This record gives sequence, structure tokens and C-alpha cells, in this order.
Amino acid sequence: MFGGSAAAQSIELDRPMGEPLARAMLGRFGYGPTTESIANVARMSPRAYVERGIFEGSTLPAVISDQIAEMPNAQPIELTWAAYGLGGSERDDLKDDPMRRKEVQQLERLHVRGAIKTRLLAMANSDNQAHEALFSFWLNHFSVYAPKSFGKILIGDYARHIEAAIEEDSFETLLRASFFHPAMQIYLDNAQSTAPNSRAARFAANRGKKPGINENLARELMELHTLGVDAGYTQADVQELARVISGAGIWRANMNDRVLDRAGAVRKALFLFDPRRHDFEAKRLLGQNFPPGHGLDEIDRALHLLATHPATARHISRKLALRFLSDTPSEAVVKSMTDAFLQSGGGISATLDALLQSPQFVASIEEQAKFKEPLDQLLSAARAACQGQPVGNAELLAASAMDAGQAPFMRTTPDGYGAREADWLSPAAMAKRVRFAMGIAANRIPLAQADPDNTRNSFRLKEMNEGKQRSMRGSPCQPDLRAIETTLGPLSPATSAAIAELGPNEQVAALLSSPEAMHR
Amino acid sequence: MSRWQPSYRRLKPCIAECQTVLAKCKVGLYSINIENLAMSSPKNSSGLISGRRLFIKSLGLGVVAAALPGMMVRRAYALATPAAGNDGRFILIFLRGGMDGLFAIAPVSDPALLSLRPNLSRKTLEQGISLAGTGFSAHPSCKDLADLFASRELLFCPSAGTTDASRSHFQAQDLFEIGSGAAKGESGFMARLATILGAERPSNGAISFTREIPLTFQGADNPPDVAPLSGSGLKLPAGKVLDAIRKAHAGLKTGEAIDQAISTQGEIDAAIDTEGAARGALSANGFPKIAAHLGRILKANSRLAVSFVDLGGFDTHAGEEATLSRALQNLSGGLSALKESLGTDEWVRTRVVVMSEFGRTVRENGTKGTDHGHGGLFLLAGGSIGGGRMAGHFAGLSEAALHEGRDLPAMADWRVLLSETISSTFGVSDRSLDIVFPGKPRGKIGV
Repeated sequence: MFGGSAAAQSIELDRPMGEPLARAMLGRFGYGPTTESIANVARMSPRAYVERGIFEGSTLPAVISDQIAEMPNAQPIELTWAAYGLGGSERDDLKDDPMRRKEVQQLERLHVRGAIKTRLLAMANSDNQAHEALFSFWLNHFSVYAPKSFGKILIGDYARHIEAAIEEDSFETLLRASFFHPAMQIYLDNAQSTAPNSRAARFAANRGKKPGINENLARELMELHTLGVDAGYTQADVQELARVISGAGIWRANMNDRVLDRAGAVRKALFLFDPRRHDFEAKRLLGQNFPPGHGLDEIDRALHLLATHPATARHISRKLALRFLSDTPSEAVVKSMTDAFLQSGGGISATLDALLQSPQFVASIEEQAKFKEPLDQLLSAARAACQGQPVGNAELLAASAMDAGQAPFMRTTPDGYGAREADWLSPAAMAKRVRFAMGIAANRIPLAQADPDNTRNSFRLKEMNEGKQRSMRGSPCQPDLRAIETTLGPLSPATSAAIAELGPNEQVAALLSSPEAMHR
Repeated sequence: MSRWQPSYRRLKPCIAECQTVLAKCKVGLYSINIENLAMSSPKNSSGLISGRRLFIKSLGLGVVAAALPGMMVRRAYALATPAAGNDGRFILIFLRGGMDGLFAIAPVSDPALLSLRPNLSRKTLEQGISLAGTGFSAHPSCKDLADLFASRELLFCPSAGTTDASRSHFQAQDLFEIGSGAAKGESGFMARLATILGAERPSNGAISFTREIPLTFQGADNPPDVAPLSGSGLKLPAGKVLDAIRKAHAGLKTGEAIDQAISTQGEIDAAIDTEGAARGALSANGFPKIAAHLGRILKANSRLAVSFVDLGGFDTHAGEEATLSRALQNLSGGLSALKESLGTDEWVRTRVVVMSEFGRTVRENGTKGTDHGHGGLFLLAGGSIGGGRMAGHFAGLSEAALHEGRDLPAMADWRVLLSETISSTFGVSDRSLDIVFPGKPRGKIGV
């Protein structure tokens, strides 16, 4: 069907893909098709479509980019950090001033909320859906829970750093963007790690304190970000890596740069390597000797070792395959992706080419083999209903994403959200999806625009589900049955038969809840 | 293959595994009487489940049964049925993140405690609540636990755990939930338990108070009810649109989930009806509020014999005192709220197990927290458990007693602890317990 002949083994990587494959690609590498995007993507080749996702960013409708620009997380991080970061000017004496403390907490909440809404607006409205799909994949791979500590104000900047790294087409660049950002250092507790043999520890000992190291980032760096749990590293490796990365942390806004210079500290934006907390003794990591006397350079060395390790190539390949291919990727496809990863020095486009070229990819497209994750489903329903009209009600999207359990930056554990059907298919998930479809069909869901008088800056999903008037102010998109049929593609006999007796509005609800709409 | 017949894809790995296991046991695939297995499976009350699904699930159980040496697969199902009699209720509260058991309940009589945990033991050493006769004290945040202990409604086993060697949250949680000793598998132990209980009495049901189906409940003959205790819930407006949607999903897992949303919502409504408005909601927030709601649902639906709920937030690498105190207060308050909402009659027949995927390092780390360890705390609560005591062994905190020089050993295997609990709750036979927990060690702990 997609390869040109019935016996085709794989798709044509460099030929215009045509409408059926365009529809599928927009669901697989993207948040669902619209009639217009199907037409545009049909003229592109599969390789060009995915590479555009890597090498180009998104363009958003002006009404959406204006909305994003007004959010507090859109401010340059340097300004926000100087005022509200660790050691920031607005943090003085907050403990003694409950009024101001409340204001700061409110602002922090707006930062987190703003980062979530920024992501969802981009995903729903981008003209470059492959970019948004890959961006979400890497944010989820290097997952950070925003509400923890200073993550609240750092999360927007963290996302921008990850996005900027994508176009380098290199896993190592992505790993470094994550590691050297204060959001990750804080989330996995490394910013507080202090080697017991370091200058800072000796200084603290004089004051009766006994700081030391924790293993959190070191372990997850190997288990989740790079090697994978079955790679054969040991508890000793975890402890050694924790020593290697000691001294990595964050820059406090009230730090004296002259003092830092004298100490030999290295600052990259808000990341700080402080040699006064680093362990300079010899280490042995994954069978390699790390000689004594090294600081930031041995962190670089360790990250390079991890990024280029064969186990990492396999772990990343498998994870990409789980998200973009199948819950059960074949050994063959994981192997060819792993080889491509290693041969290209961790190139993402090369690794994904191997995925696209595999016979399993054709089969998985024809079978719609992937059960949609909550955001896949929420956003594809919104896009199908709005058909190019901007989806501008960020409060509604954020409330729905929270309710569905997949809001960006809200995964508490560092493993990120799962990609398999078993991670998401449940009675509650299906109830939410069906209610959402019914609400769209009844023009009850103000997807296009929030209530202009909404001063709460939040959205009450429960009121909307109960049909309460207040929550329904704002504008819905007027769903069009024919356009929705086009975005879904051919229906199964069971679906066609099931909806045959329904009226047009009822068909919209049934189609947006159909098995075809639940898979990609 | 078209997309609306996705069943075979799922079936394939199952068959492959089955063949492997059977080959090992030198039993040909042809010797299994699939029809008999399917016939002896419990009927699904909704009537919407196809024979195909029963086939898959029965085969899944067959895999486990076939792994038992010298046992004919066809007989395994009959042996798997529990002995009649005990009519209990089993609730598992799973703490995700690796709960630091030595913080919650600390061996205050051990001379090494203070030097190993200069910050994290101080509060318990100064203000802890003594658990009489055990040498342990509860952290002040666990006051409700100490009260249950004093009234003999709680016991603890301080050095319990799994066979996990990875110290990975995710690997250890999978291993715990599967219950076979492996970190990968087709079904979880709660699923196998629910299948066995359902085979005895088809009305016996299971419920998971989670948003999605946890691994431990995956692969059950009949999937458990799934009732999330937060979020917008399961309600669906009835009518011809919903009927059409159900028709379009008929025979698919998605359709099964929609049907379940409808039936489980009925059970929740029943709980609200029996409660009436007068008693009002408990004012507590967090887990106590959720636990009270959970208790009401169980009380109104006596068929729900097995239930599961999980709590997160126990991964305390830094600043543990504040974070874990809050989490433990939440947990302890939740157990009290559960007891109250169940009422005396139900509480007497209820056994609640609380466990985590692993304990944490015996020494506190350099950031006033603890890192991933091995052995940890097991709690059992209930109205007739003979509590007020410690179960299992505790080897102390001396260097020689520690696992790999840093953790508590897992002296009590989680499968043995859970088997004993399940056995006293339901009177399940030893043979059945070997199916729920294949490869579990022999021996008794006495919980």
C-alpha cells in the first residue's frame, strides 16, 4: 500500500509519500493529521519529513506565538534567575514575609503552568509536527519534574536548551544539553553532592557539618539516559560516576565571580562546575582508569564514554522504536538502528532512517500498531476538530493533559512517561477519550479560545464535563464531519456499521472515539 | 493483517513463551487440552468477552502451570482452586520510590544507629514511639502506625525484600510486581491470585485503585476493575452514541476498557449510595481522604476480594527528614482512615500489606538522604492479624550484618510474606501459592 507494490519490503525513503502514508506519518511522528497537513506532507519524502523535524523548528500561527510570548517562562532565564533563583534578589528574607512569599509562589506556579501550556500549544499548532514529536521524545527521555525546587522557574529554559540541541543531530549533544542544565542537576539532587575529600567538605567539617555525595544522578544517567539497566554496569560504577560528577551544580545569583575565578570554577550560563566540591582522586569507571587531578574535563570524558557506548546505542534505538514503531520492535530493527547509531556517531536522523527502512515499519503503519498515548489522542482529536483553525485554549489543554496523566514536565519519576499500550490503556483513559469526543461533537469544548474573562488562569474540566455554562464560554472549533473522515482515513467494517444509523453530530463523536482514532 | 484484528500480535509472544517452557518440560504443545482449560475458566459476567481472550489468558496460566515439575497441565487448573472457607479481603499498598524503612521504624536499641544515621535517626531516638518488646521505635510521623501496633492490629518485618540486585527503581518494581523472581514476564502476581480466586467463585473480583492497570494486575483471566481515586473519573453518558462506540470497539481491548468503565462506575455509585450524605466526607486531604473513599467502595462491594493501590514520593536522596515525614504521615493516616471507613466487621476480615520495591542505604548519604538499597520494611495491618509484634529476623546494623556493606539484607522474601498473608486471608492451598509465586523459597516467617 505504501511501498508502491504489494511485495514491497519497506517504504521508499526519498520519494514523495502520497496521502495515505502522509496521514500515517503525521500520526506516528506528530500529533495527528488535518486535511491541509496531509496535502502538504504528501509531497514530501519520508526522509525529508523526519529530517525537517530535526533540522528545522516549528512555525506557529501568530495568535499562538503571541500567547506564548506573554508567558513568564518566555522571559530570558538570566533575568528570572537574578530575581527569583537561588541567591536571587527577591528571595531575601522571604521566610519572614508571608505576603511576598505567596507572591513568589504564585509566580513560580505561573512559570510551571506556562511551560506546560507553551509545549501543548506548540504541539497542537505546529506546522512541523515531526519536530514537536521528536522534541517531546527528548524532553521525556531526559525527563525533569518541574515542580521540584528551582525546577519551577528553570523548566522553560531547560526545554529551550533541549530543543536547540535537537538540530545538532547528535545524541551526545542532547545528553550534554540535559546534563549541563541546572534543571537536571537540581531534579536528580546532584547540585548538592559534595565529595567528602573536597575543600568544601573540609571547610564544612570545621563548622561541624559532614556533607557528602548522593548517587541519584549518577545512577539515572547510566540506567535511564544512556546505557540502560541491563548494560552490565555495577554498583561500584554508580559510585565512581557519582564521584566523577561531583562538583557539577548550579550558579547562585549572589555568587562572587572573582571568588569563583580564583577557585577555578567554570560557569556555563546557570550551570556551575565548582572544583571545591569535586573529588580529584583517581577513579575507575566502566573498566577505564580516570587518573587523579581531573575536574570538569573528566566529566566531559565520562559523558563521551557513556554517549558513545554500544549499550547506549542499543538502549536509545530501542526506546525510539518503542515510541515510533511498535510496543514489540523486532530484534532485527533494533539491531539495524543500533548499527546506524554507532556508525553515525550517535546521529538521530541516521538511526531513524534505519527505523523507517525496516519492513516492520510498513507493517506497523498498515496495522496502526501503536495505541495512542494520552497526548497523542487529546491533540489529534483537537487538531481533527479544528482543522487548521488555531487551537488556542491552553488552559483547557493543560487541564486535560493533567487529567489524562501526561502533562509535560509533570512526570514525578525520572523514567519519563511510557510509550506502550500497557502503560496507558485503562477504563478511565477510555472514559476520558469518549467524553472528550462527545464534548467536541456537541460544541461543548472551547478548543479555539479560552473565556476572555477567565481570570483564574485555569480551566475546570469537571464543570465542562457536567455541561456547566460557565466553563463553556470561549469558542469551540466547529467540527466538520467530512474533514474528520479524511483525517481518519478508511474505516473498518465494524466502525462503518456501528455509526451507520447515527446523525452527523453523533457521527463526529463516534468517529473521534473510534478504534481508528485511538491508534496511530 | 488489518488493524481491527490486533489480537494475534499479542498472542504470538505468549505462544512462543509457552512453547519454550513446554519444551523445557518435555511436554508437547499438543498434549494441552486447550478446550478444557478454556471451559474451566471462570465465566465473565459481562458476557462480552470472546472465547479468544479466554483462550489467551488460560494459556498464560498454562505457562505457569507447565513450569511446575511433574504436573500435568490439565490438572493444574483444578489444583489451583483454593480451599473453601476463609472469606477475607486482601489489600496491597505499594510504595513506589524505595521507602526508607529504617526511618519509619528504627532499631533504637542498636548501638550503631546514631553513628550511621546522625541526622535521620535523631528525631526517632529523641521522640520516637516505642514498639514494645521489639527494640524498635516508630518515627513521630508514624503515630497512627504505632497506635495500630499497640492495639495488635499491625505487625512489621524490618528486613524484608526481593531478590533484586539492580537497585533500579523500575527493575525492582517490575520484579516485585511480577513475583516470579524475574523482572520480565507475561503476568503479575496479583493477576494470578485474582485468577485463582475467580476460579473458585466467579463473583470474586479484584480492583486496582490506580489510573492504569499496574504490572502486577496484567495478564489476569478477567482484568481487574480499575478505579482511579483522582481525576475526572469513569462516568460516561448513556445513549445511542455510546452504544455505537461500544459496537465499534466490540472484541477489542479498548472496548473491554469502555465496558469496565461503565460497570466500575456502578460500584462507585453504590458506595456513595450506602454512605448517604449524613456522615459527610472526611476532612483529611491526600491519602487519608483517598483511603476513606477506597474503604467505602470496598465496603459497598463485598465481592472485591483483592485490591491494589500505590503511592509515590518515597525516593529520598536529599533532605529526607521533611519529605519522608510528610509521606509517612500521609500513609499512616491513610491506614487509620481505611480502618475507620471499612468499619469493624470488614476490618476484622481484612489484611493490608504495605511494601516498597527496596529499602535504602543503612548509612545516610552526604545530602541528608539515603540512596537505593536492598532489604526494607514490610507492614501487615488488619483487625485480626495478631499484631503488636515483629516478624522475621533482624540481624542488627553491624558491618558484618549488612548486605554488600551498605544495605539491610532481604532476610524475609516478599513472596513468602505475601504467600502467608494470602493463605491466612483466603485459605489458598500451597499448590496455588506456587502458581501465584513460582519459585518462591520454602520456609515460614510467621506473619
